Amino acid sequence: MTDSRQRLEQRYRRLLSLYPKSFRETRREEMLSTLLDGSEQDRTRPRADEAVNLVGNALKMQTLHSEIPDRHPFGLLAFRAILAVWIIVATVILCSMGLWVWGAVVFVFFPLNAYLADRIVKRSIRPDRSIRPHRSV
Amino acid sequence: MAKRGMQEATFLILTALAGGAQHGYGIIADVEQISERRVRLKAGTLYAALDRLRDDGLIELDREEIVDSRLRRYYRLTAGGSSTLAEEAERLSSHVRTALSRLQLTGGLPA
Repeated sequence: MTDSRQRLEQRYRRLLSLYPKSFRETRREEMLSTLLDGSEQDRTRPRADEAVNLVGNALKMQTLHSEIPDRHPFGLLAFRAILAVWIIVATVILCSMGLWVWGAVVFVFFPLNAYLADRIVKRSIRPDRSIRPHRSV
Repeated sequence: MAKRGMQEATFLILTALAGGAQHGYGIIADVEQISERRVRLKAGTLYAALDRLRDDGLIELDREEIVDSRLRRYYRLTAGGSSTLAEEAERLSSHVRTALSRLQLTGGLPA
């Protein structure tokens, strides 16, 4: 394997590390093959759209696959703390690949998004409010 | 509730697998070709979709291969996947027929 290929593989591995553990264990090697198959030979950095897509899907899986403990205040706090650390790690990984703008987007908009979603869900739980968490489009 | 239409990416993935078992990058390349280079699936999207399709019983693992020390998993349609794709294709083509015939009636179809 060439040097550039190894560097690319290492960078994709770092991005894949953002996925939940259970997913990583079964899918990492397979996804890595697919990502490398789709990359030009001399490429050393992941394509920006692939990187951002991986970060977005990893976050989706982190939140969907984890049991969000909505009844237990400490559990919820722990979940938020883990998510905050995850966002910082995702930002660092993206920035380390030279994707500064995307790093900034993840750092600013993901927490904002989570905060707003949190507010909307909280409001909708109260029976006197009319906003609902899910609206089919 | 009425059944909602399938997402385009899902439809294209199932269509790619309707031609036979394929691995991850094979699906991406095939979808690009089927869509005349309009849709290029990203790996994150593909594997989220494959997970969902497998949970829904529409696709299954065909085989695993190691090529150049890289793991490749091949997927194939299940019987349920084939019939779901056929239903969706029929639904879409019925919409297309209606759209074309109405355009013809109003003269909106370019000659």
